[in-house]
Amino acid sequence: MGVTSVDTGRIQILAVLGSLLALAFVGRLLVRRRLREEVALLALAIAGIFLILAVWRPLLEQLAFAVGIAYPPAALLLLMAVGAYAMLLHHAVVLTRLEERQRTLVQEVALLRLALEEQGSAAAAPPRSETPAETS
Amino acid sequence: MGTVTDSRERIVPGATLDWPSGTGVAFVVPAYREEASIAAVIHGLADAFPRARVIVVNDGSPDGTSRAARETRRATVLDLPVNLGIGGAVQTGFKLALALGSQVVIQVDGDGQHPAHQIRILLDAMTSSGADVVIGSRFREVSSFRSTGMRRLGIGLLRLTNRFVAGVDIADSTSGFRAYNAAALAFLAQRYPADYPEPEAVVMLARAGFRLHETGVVMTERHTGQSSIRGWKSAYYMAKVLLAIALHAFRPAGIR
Repeated sequence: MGVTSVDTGRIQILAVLGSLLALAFVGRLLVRRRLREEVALLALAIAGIFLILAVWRPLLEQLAFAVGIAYPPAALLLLMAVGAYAMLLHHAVVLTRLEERQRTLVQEVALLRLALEEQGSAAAAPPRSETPAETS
Repeated sequence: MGTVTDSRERIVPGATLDWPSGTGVAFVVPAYREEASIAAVIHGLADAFPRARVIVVNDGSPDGTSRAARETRRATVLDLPVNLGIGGAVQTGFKLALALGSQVVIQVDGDGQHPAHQIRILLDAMTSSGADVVIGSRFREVSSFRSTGMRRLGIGLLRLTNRFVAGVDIADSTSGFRAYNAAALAFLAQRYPADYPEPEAVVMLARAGFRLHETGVVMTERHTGQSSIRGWKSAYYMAKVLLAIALHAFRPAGIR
């Protein structure tokens, strides 16, 4: 009983399940406050698009043909890559901003510590703070 | 920032400028793993300029850099709780120097590359040129500095880019041996590039309308430690700095 034609309904079910799973996972992270809404919006949007495409298959074909992609699954891969790239970029932007803020805070801590030390040494014996400098 | 500024101003009276003794002069010495050489650097500066403020910024060193600096009792030591890299460290020193009301700030490396007696050359050049920033260059007039071919190529590229983007001709824009006046200090305390800051700072300052001047100095071989830029890292460094500088061409020049 050689299988010559693939049952494409199976992958549709899988795709729908996968998209739902992704949505549920992001939703759970949100509920548990492990993920900020700001970051989640992009993830939800991407998972949502995949769900729509999985449920309504002609849409993918129409989209693919509209932009000149002969093989619709390639459009899906392209979408996936673009989505991942967008997420990565978003993270890079957030990281850059965090780094900037962290730098300012670290500097402020050092300056405040010095101000404290000088206050201490002006009042009495200087409180020696051996630097607990753990870098890694 | 505000609170620190206030407490700082109480501790040290606003400074007038008197170069021979160092009044109004602050030295910013970024130090990472310079336990072995930092004390000598501090003594060199404090001997040459008894009334100057020596600010050592210990950039989260795991060794005894902070202790060695404190034991001289001639330096104000700022301990960064985590490592920020040279740019973040130097900027911390700038913030303190600004709050102290310094008239001139001189950045000196913590590894002993910049001898104290060369500082007068920077200061004199600042007076005679009337510039806001004086860069101690290894490539102008006197030079005892040898560097690798790769590095020379990189510095030449930087020079070209500088001329293009900022319209200034600085031969040695990677030199960390610099003097800034109060106006340039206020500018840099607010915005200073992070990782490999020197060449980028040149472009930022020039584009913001500060006058830059370069003068020849003699630097000695490093006492200890290694340059932070070696091998493949230098290629990465070049790419990064060139990109950073090129980007400045697309930004509005900073406000003075």
